[in-house]
Amino acid sequence: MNFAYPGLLYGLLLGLIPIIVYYLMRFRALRVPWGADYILERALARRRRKLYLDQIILLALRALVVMALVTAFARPQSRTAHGTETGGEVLRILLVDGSYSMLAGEGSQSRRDTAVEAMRGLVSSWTRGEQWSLYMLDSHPRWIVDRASVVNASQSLAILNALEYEECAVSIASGLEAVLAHEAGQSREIYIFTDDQATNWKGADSVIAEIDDNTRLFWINPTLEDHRNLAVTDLQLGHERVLRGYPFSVYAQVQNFSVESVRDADLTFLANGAMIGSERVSLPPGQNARVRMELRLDELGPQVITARLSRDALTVDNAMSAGVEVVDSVSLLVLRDAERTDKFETSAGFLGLIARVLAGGAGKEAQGPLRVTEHAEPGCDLSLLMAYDAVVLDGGRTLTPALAETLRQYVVENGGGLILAMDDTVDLPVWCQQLGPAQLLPALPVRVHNEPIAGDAFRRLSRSGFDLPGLRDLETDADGDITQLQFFTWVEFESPIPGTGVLARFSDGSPYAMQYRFDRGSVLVLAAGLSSRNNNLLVRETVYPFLVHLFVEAASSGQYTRRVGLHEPVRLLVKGDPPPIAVQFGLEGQEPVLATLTPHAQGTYVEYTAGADRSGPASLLVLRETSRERVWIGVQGERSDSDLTSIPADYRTRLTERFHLTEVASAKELSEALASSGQGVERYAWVLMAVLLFGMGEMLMGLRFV
Amino acid sequence: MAKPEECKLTLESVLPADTRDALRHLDLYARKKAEGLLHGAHKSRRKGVSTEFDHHKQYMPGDPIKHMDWKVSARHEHYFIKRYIEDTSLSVRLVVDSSASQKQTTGGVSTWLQTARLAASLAYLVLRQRDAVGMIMASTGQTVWLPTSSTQTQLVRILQALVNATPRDADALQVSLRALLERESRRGLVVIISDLMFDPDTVRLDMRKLQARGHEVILIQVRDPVVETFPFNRWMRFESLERAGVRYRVDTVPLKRFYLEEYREFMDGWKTWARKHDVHFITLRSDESVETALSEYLMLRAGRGGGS
Repeated sequence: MNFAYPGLLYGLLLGLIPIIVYYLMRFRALRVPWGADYILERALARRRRKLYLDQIILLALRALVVMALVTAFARPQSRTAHGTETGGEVLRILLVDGSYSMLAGEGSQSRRDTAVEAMRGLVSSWTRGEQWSLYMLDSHPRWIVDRASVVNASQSLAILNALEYEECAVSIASGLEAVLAHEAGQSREIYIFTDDQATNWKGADSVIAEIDDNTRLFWINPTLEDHRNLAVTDLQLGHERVLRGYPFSVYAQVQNFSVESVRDADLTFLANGAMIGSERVSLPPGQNARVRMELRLDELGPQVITARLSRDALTVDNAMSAGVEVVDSVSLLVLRDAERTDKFETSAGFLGLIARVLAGGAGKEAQGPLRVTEHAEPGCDLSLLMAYDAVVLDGGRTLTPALAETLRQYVVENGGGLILAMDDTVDLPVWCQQLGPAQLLPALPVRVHNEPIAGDAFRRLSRSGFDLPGLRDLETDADGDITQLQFFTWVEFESPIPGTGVLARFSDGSPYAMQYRFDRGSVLVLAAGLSSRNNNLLVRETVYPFLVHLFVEAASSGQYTRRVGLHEPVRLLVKGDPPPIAVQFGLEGQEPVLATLTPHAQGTYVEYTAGADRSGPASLLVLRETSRERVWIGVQGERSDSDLTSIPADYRTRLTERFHLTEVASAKELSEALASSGQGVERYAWVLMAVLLFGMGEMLMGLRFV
Repeated sequence: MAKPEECKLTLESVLPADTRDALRHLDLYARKKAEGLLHGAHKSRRKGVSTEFDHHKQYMPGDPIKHMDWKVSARHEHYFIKRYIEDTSLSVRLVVDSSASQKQTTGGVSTWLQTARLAASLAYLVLRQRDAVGMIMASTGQTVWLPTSSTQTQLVRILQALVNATPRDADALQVSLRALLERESRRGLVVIISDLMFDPDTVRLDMRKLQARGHEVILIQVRDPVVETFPFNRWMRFESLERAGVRYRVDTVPLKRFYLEEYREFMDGWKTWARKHDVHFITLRSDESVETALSEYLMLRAGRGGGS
């Protein structure tokens, strides 16, 4: 037996009131001189025992009436654990799965909705003074409510309504261990609000097996008919700074987390919410696919690219985003070797021609996507380099240690993009000596091959495995080699250091373009020069997009990444005047938070170290005195909670039958399960009936004397 | 309820003028043959000088010759003398219960006051018809004995005795009856006035003795309304009027029914006993009019034939 208001049981002492009144009235008896002693004595002598008994019965009935009334007000309820009347207080613990899988559902009703409905029904059935706790299983499992007394249902419901679900995997076993370690030895009812995800329940059976008889388990498992679940597990952009109107690649990885095959699921790509492409995906159970989409963006500025799948059981993992910066041009600074005096002896002249062609004619270079500047001085300082998106260092024999250090600072410390284009004039020992210690060479050049121009010994680029924009339209031979490009001079490298990406290869498999990315900044090493003196890059306009792609690749490394993981710090370098007065980090559905601003040589360094706690498009709103701009960041979680595969049938049977875990699917079933076990049934009606009976007894006793 | 100390009586309260007026036209006749010294209105158990013939008696030596009935003697061979019923005066003895229970007072009227009124009224009534009246009012260590007398000063003596008396002790009536049995042998009317709040066995035995001696006994009970109705519904502390220091602390709610049952049984016992032993049993409450009660009784008594 338990009571809704156990504190009222102190009122049982009120049962003493009739006894106190009895003695008070006896004490305050009215004095009267009496002459009829004879009759009074006879009446008393003959009925004294009966009178005494009647007094005791009356007093007992009156005390019982008061005590039964107090008991009724305390609202007695029957409580059981494992079907046994335990008596005393029962601590109710809600163990709530706060992972994203609880957001899976059908139609407008999610598992979370069903669980919350069951929680509301449960909490509403509790009454003032009952003890309850709530343990939230999410990325930071913790007690939300630790043995609190129910003051009123609305307060408890407010707590339930405020529960937020996180993108994380949970372990029921660890949650149960934490809960069972709490208030051990007391009668407990543990209500587990979670789904039947096999990943969640791993190892829980062994924990449940150790539960004592004073603890009863209820598992509220909202059913899900359709477990079909696809998730976008990764979204990568070819590079995070793209030229307006120029194609760039987007790679979306999709995984089928269900036990059924999925056919022709729609994968849609959106830029700032507007659809810019779509693809159909078919996947067998448990498999994943990498979908590549070539996109062009026509609007300048920061944008967010989103890959979104059609609706399925769990919608929160159906989309993934990444931020991208759309620019109208890439500025290149070509460092000229002082010993090379001819205009076309370096790549600057050739790149200038390409820029002119891309701009649409002579004199329009300022409006073109490629801005090429040549620097012929022996030395240069860092500030000069920082004014450009990328720096091209081609062949030549003079490379001073000072220049090498400046280049290191430019790349490693300031996020610059360095393009090392090794043509026939490169002095490999010097380059290795100067650039190697500065870690600007991801692969050491071994030898320079110089073949006669127009001869038969040349190299071609391969398209196999390198489906870069610009190379797609070029003719290939039967082996997949691009026939239109011929390199008569090239450099052989040793094996690149780990982390080096190969962007293009020659037809023999040796690397043509290798890129090594630092935290910010990158080195793009080309195995041939950009001057066209020893290749036909210049004469083939169809190759220009490929070259632009390489330049943009190098230039985009200068900015902080627009694609972060959960809880990963978000950084941004804001350039331009006036400097920002504040930057807010915002995630959809959450209040914006101010990011930290730090002055920097190139602008203002913005950082939000806490990062985002769930996947989706986030943004940094840069507030200046006269303007504002929003920089999009794609937050990409690990999809650790997307696998909705149910626990095996035998596992479920072991839980429910061997370990007496009561499984219900809804609030109604939970209510029925509780009612069938006699739990929570109010007994005060019986007590009121007892009050009535005692009262009637007292009245009848009183009537006897009339 | 008045305190017992307030039971002091006055002459005017015991026999008011309006009571005397109301009693003026009433007569009290003996139901049995009286044995008085004087001629009066009541039949005497002695045969003597009178105008009302009773029977003939064979002459015996010593009988007065003047009562010889010569005509009858002539018709028979023996002498006969005439016997007449002798009229004599009524001798009434008032036995007043002065026990402490008579202090029971309700509404300013104590049963003692009502008892005194009854005694005074009866004395007045008896003396007014020139009969003799006496009064016995005894208690332990104190006995008021007023021999029967028909003089008008007897009323004064009786009234003074009533006014000066203070109810006390528990067995006053028994003592009075015992004194009466010891001292008085002449037949007459014995009127016992009491609240009857005692063990009746002894009193009943004495009353039977009085009847055996030829007395007519009238028993008048004075009832107190509170004692009769027991109108209590709370805890009460009853302090005995007759026994100092004796008190009963009781919850009257459950007791009331039992008390009333007991009271009814007690009264029924007296009525049954009185009917069985030919004792006129009159009860009146202390707040009832004495003259009305006496009028009703005397009229009833006269209707039954007075002397029968």
